[in-house]
Amino acid sequence: MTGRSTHTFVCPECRRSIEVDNAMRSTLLETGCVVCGAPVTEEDMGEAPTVG
Amino acid sequence: MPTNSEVEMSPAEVDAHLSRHETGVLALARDDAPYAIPISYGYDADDRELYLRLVSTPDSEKREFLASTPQARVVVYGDDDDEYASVVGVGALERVDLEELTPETIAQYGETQRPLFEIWAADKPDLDIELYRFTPEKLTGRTVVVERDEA
Repeated sequence: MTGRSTHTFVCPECRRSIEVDNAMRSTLLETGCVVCGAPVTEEDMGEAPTVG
Repeated sequence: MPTNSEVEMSPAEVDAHLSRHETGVLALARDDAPYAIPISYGYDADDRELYLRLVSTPDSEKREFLASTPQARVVVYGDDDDEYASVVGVGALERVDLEELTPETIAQYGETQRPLFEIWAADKPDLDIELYRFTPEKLTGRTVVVERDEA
């Protein structure tokens, strides 16, 4: 069974962390942090994808 | 002497009113204590739900009223010259767990006006920002047109 790849997103402003898959990651890059609305960059997405 | 004509909004007019506005009043209660605050929100006209972010500090009274999916009212009102419009929703206010987020929910919050917590003295990491969804069981609106006599 193949798990989906996830990243740990950490907001640079409110510091909330969320496990996100690729679809959520793309949406966050467009909309900003879901909690505080701060702009989000690739660097905020974490480096090592994990398989859930 | 001014006269008023009052008309109940259709569901489509209610949706348009909520989509056009971004702020309103959230009213909660606990025992005999009322609690009401201004809110910013985003409106999903398809599901007829409001998305909001609620900001509090560790010692704020807001948290006491938000426990365990409280019943709430949301009022969104506005006026345009002599026409006054208001929408009232009654329903449950549910916290959105970050672990339950979907791309669609994230996009919805992306369209939700951020609350004006930028004016708070505390930095964002010190603020407790929680996501909520208001699902009205009842959603109604009224428009009142005031016809004023010519002076």
